[in-house]
Amino acid sequence: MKILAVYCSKGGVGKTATSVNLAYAASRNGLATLLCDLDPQGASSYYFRIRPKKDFNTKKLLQGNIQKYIRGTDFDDLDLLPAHFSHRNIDLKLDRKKLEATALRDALSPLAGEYDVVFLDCPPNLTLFSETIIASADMVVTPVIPTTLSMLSLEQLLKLCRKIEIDKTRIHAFFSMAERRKSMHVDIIGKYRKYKIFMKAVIPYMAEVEKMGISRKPVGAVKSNSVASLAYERLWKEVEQRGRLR
Amino acid sequence: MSRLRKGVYTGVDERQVRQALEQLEKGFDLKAIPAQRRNESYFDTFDGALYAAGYLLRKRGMKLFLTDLDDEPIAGGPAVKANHFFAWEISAPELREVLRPAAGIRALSRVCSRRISREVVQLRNDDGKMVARVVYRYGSAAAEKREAALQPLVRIEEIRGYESAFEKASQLLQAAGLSGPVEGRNSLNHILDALELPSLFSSSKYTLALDKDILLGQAVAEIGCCLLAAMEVNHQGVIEDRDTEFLHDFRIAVRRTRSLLSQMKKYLPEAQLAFFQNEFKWLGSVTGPVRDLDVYLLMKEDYAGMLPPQLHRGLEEFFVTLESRRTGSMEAMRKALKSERYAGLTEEWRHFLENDRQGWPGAERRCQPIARKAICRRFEKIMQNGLKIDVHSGDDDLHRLRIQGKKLKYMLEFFRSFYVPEEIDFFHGQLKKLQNNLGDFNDISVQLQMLEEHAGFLPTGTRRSLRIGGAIGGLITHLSGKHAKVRRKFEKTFAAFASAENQERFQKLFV
Repeated sequence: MKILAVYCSKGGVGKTATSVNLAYAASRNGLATLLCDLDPQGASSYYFRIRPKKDFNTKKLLQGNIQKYIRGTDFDDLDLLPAHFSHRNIDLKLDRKKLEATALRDALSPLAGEYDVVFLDCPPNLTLFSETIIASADMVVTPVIPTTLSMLSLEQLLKLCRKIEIDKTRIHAFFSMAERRKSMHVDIIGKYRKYKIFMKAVIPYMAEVEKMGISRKPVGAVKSNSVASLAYERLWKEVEQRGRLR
Repeated sequence: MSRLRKGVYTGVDERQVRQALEQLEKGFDLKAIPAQRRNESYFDTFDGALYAAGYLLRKRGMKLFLTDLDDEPIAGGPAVKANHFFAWEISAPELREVLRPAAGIRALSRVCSRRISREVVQLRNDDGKMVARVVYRYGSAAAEKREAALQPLVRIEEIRGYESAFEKASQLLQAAGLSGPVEGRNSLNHILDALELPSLFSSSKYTLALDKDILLGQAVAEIGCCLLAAMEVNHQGVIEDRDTEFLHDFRIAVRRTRSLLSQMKKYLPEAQLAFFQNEFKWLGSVTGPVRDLDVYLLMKEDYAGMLPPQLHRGLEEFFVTLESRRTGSMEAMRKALKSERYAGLTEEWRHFLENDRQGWPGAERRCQPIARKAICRRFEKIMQNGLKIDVHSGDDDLHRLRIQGKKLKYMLEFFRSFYVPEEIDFFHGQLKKLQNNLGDFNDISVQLQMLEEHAGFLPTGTRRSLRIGGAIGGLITHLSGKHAKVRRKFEKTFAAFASAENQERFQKLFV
């Protein structure tokens, strides 16, 4: 079972769209997939129309007692562990003294026989929980809008890796919400895409992705051969290859 | 992923089922997916080897789908474009590797088919989330020239994490009068129920159990009819040349019949006995050439393993000539098995067994003592002849011993039910070890003879002949070594069979 975190400390970069659409692509390509919504805002859960069970909370997540809280989406081979509002205080639950860097990996380990890949839709912050996520994941996929500030947040992520002694080759970035009409976007993509950290696939800004909030489905489930769906399929293929997910 | 519940419910007819489905509106918002129509066929070996191994293999369009007996998917891939095919011809690797050990050398053929319409209704909550799924199936099934309507089935499928929705939907369907949940019935059972068939598979295994007090005439009739049924059940498969086992099982039934006639000759009317012995001998001879060639052709991979790569081309060419010979022999055999002579034989044999017993000299005698005497005679002959064999004995002596062993084996099978099963099975097992050694020896002898004969007929002077000759030479060298090795094992194997312990066991059981 591989754990794949979709993370960025900056909000609004397309993390949830990435998590939802990559998880969907993984399941369409034959992998038993679980998406864990760790963001207390619960956007992934909203897209899949899934609410948490009444007795689910952060404590249960960290204890690894999660099997009965996982819910099936409307799509075969794709399940979701919905978010819970108590996740906003997750850092308080992590005891600094007892902190195991891989607390999340341990919590997910009972699922190893059930799923091929687990996606983590992560909250947009830089906290103790972020460290746990990055340390627990086999691969961190980070969307980067091609702007100066977004590149800065990528720098911060790499700095965090150095601090917690995580190999930076675990980080795989891609340009998200890119607009060809914006010269800054074009310049930054041109300058940085040659670096190994960046995947070749670029996700352009697309109205289809914004409309996910209305359709409440992955883009591939709305129309399998749409521009957006094909873009995420290409991204998935690269993620799969880089992460050796088969 | 975790195993989710499925509840299967049945209705009397379509009207009742549709009314029941409407009741689901009491608990859920319903979204119907347009009906899909499917034609699918189930494939298995003649004797249901896939089913016995826990698999169902379906063909839908140009795709194959393999499931377990709960209809849970295992593997799939493109179909083979033929009505009968072998597991090794399947292109999808995962599917092929699952099916090969299960099917072995038997062909996969259509055993039944169904036409179904499949409607899916998604049960949704107030958020528009699907919390359970209902699949409604109806249609018809066909097999063995029968056709019938399938009982309409409704299956509720649980969605993970929505246990109460599954339970609620189940309650609503039950309240609406559907029967269920039905347990342990898979899609193949559903077809069998509709067609009112106990099974779709046949077996050539000899399993007849005679009553201990049975009279001889009745015993011979029952055994004979059982063997005739085995011939008939394999006949069509032989004609169609579906796989090698149909002919193999057909010939075993013929050999057993000949053995029965020989063992019981004192108690059967002379004229008819002579007639049937002659006719079954004819049947053995017209089916022999194809079987002999099948045995060689099945050895192809083994032969290739015996030779260095440089000789493989010659081996390939050798097998091309064998295939060609087989085609000719197959035509001759087909003609014989479709002939009036064959049809007449089976009809007359059946009539003789079922209707003509009054004229039999020993019909009214109890079978068990006669069987016991025959078994003892066979055993004594084996002991006498086996003990005479030494390092100087020729191949023919072992061949004769093997034939005698076969006759004893058949007697033990025919009359197994007269004895305590564990004891007779033990003795049968001891005989099997001896027969395996003698059988291996005979098989290699026959192969060597065939190879030498073939080498003798090769035209001289061509490169092709040189290549084939080289391959045959390599095989003869290898097989000769193997032949000597098997021969060296005979004395020890026979000594084990003829041990004092076995002889004592035999005495207790049969004398």
